[in-house]
Amino acid sequence: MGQGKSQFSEEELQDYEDLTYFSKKEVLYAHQKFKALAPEKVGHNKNAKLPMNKMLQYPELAVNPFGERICKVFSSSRDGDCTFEDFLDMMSVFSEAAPKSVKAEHAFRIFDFDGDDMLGTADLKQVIDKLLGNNKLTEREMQHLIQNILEEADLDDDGSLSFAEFEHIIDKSSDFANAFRIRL
Amino acid sequence: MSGGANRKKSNRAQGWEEAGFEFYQESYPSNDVELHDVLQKDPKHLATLLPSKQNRAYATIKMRQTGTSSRTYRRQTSSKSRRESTTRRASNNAEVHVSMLPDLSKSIPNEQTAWEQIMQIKELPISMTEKKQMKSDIQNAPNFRLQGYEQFKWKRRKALRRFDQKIGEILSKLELWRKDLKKIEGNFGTGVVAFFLFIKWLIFLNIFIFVLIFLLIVLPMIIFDPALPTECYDIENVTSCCDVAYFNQSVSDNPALDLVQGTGWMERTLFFQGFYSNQVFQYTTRLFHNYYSLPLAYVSVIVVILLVSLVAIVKGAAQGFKHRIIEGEGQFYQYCNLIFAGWDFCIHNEKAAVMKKKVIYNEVKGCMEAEKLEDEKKNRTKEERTKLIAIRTFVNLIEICILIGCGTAIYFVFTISSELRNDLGDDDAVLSLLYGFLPSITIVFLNVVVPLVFKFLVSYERYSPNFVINILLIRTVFLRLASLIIFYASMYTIISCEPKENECASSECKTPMCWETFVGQHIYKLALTDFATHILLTFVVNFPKLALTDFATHILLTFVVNFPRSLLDKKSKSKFAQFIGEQTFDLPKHVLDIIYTQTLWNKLSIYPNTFWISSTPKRCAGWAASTHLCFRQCLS
Repeated sequence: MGQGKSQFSEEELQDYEDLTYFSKKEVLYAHQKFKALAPEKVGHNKNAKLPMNKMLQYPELAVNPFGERICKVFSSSRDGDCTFEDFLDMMSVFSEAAPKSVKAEHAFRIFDFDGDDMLGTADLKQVIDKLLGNNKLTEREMQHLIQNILEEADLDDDGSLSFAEFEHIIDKSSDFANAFRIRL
Repeated sequence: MSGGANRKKSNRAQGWEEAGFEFYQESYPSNDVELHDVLQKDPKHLATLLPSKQNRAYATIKMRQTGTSSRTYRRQTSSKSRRESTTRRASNNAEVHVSMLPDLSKSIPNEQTAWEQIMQIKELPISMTEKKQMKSDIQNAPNFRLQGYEQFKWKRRKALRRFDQKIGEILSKLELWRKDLKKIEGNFGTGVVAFFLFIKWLIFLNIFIFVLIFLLIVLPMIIFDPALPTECYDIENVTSCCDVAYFNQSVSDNPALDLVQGTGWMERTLFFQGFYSNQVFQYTTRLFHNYYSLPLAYVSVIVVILLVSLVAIVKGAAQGFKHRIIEGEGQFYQYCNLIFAGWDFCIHNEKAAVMKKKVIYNEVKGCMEAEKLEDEKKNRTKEERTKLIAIRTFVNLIEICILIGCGTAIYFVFTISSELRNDLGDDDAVLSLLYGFLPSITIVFLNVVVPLVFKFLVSYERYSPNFVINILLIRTVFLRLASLIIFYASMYTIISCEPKENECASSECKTPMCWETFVGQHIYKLALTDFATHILLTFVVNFPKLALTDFATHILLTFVVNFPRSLLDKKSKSKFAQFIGEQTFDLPKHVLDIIYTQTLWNKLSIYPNTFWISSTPKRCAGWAASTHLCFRQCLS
């Protein structure tokens, strides 16, 4: 497929096509992008594991406030180092074809910093901090903001957002599906 | 007590139904009392069967858990398939016995369900290795082959799906400006890209319109090439010879001036309606004698274009409406929206990222500010309220006066300039050109200046920021439409004069011989002026503004236009310098501009030959906007 010989067999490509939201061509294109991060290493072993700091050189991840978090969520070894398959999973979720529910699920995992399956106050604080970067809110404003978010979304008043509550908000959000997207 | 038990039972029954009938029979003894006891000992059993909890189970991913396959299966919802749901339960509750597993002989999936299961794997948040494992598990599991018609149906579905994918792939390759759009998106976020997508949509609409007109109106004119009427001997009735008189008029001989005014030789081209014949063309093929009625084609093409535009607009609006209804409650989640959907994941530019953070920060602040304003509004005293209402009424009155003023100005400029022009005759070409363009210049000037006045006035009305954007937009739209209407009305007063007997056109009102071309010329002039103003504003006002921001690049431009200004900016950080040095991409305004241009070229004019170039200005506008954005990027 493509020019010259591909690093992938037809079967592998079929697997990737079935298991992601990409077509075979897009898978190959994704691999090119992945290879560009570390040409020698990936040229040697198509599924090489790249360390997180290499992954964070991918332009969209580099400037993303949640870049590290994304790598960790998608890394199969949970430490942020990603193989090509992890990268493909990541891009598949961020692709246009992925449905909102799938995106919401991953967004929840990305925002859930402490991994307790709930977006607690601490998680929200981290999300806001990362999102605003150098523009700091005062402690009082931060409290107020978190309070507002919980007021809007925390239906059972337990002081944190469960996935069901999170999904409910995402359902109503017109911007989310557009925003949570990386074009390959 | 018994009632409660019954209710529980019905819940239970529902749950079991989902899990499969045999499962129900096998997993628990059929004795209801005993079952009740089991559930009481471990209420979790019941809980996991409730739909809500199942949703939760679907949602929960215990990332710390290292077990592989158990996690995988747990996340399937029961609705997907019985086999999976039972496995999920099995992993959830360790104490579930093996005997509870379903009778596999009856649940072996056929080819189709197996394939569907494979297609669902991609929805799971698990790593590729696990997905592959699942896929091979499903593939290796024994399954029935479908027979006969079922087989055919399934094959057809599969083929259709593959075909869809192929088509999608081809289409995505054909998608225009994909890379450029991605670049813009990466640098400026989704909002700006939406603007460019809109331009793209308009270009396609215009290309369609152009093709239609070219094929049905212009091409027949070229092919049949009707001879211009040159001779007319009907001395009795002068009016029957008007077309000859029109084409025999002497024309000016300044090609350059004619080009911008649409007079002289331009008037004698396919560009203006006056040139088109009102004949029914006849031609004979081997078998038939055929007719082609150009006037009919002319009218029907315009009707079709209007209908197509209407359908396109309604379709777009309906889509938006659907989203709005679904997401209608979104307005109650503004903070959540801001935080959870605020970041554009497509941004790949350091500078844009910093900007985006700033924007989100400002919006958060803005929301809090609005909250405070809302509080303030509630606590307003009666006096303050009356004062505010008075101010608002006053401002609205001023704005109405401004609108009326604009209307009168346009009307008078139009009548005076056409009178002056008629008096002038052909003596002074340049002055006549100026008079000719005076109405258009007035309209464009008002369109540029009055919105600024509106912007200034609205600050006194103390509306909330969102409302300010909306009301400014509405007022500006009103201004633009009103000015166009007045323009048309003033032309109508000249055109509508009844000519006296034996006259082709009323000499009293100085009605032109061919009023269709006359209107076309005016619109042409207005569109040209508008276009030129845009170019001018982009290059003369905005580019130098850009140049201010970086010293290295502005050397290029400084000496041409902006040396004093840049000095001002570098040396002193005064408010004024900041004001002129600021560069923004005002999205609502640009969208409005585009729509206005489209209106000018297409909707209001039934002079479809202007469609020839109707998409050009837009392409140029798009190009200008994008260079302007890219330029800004280079600078910073």
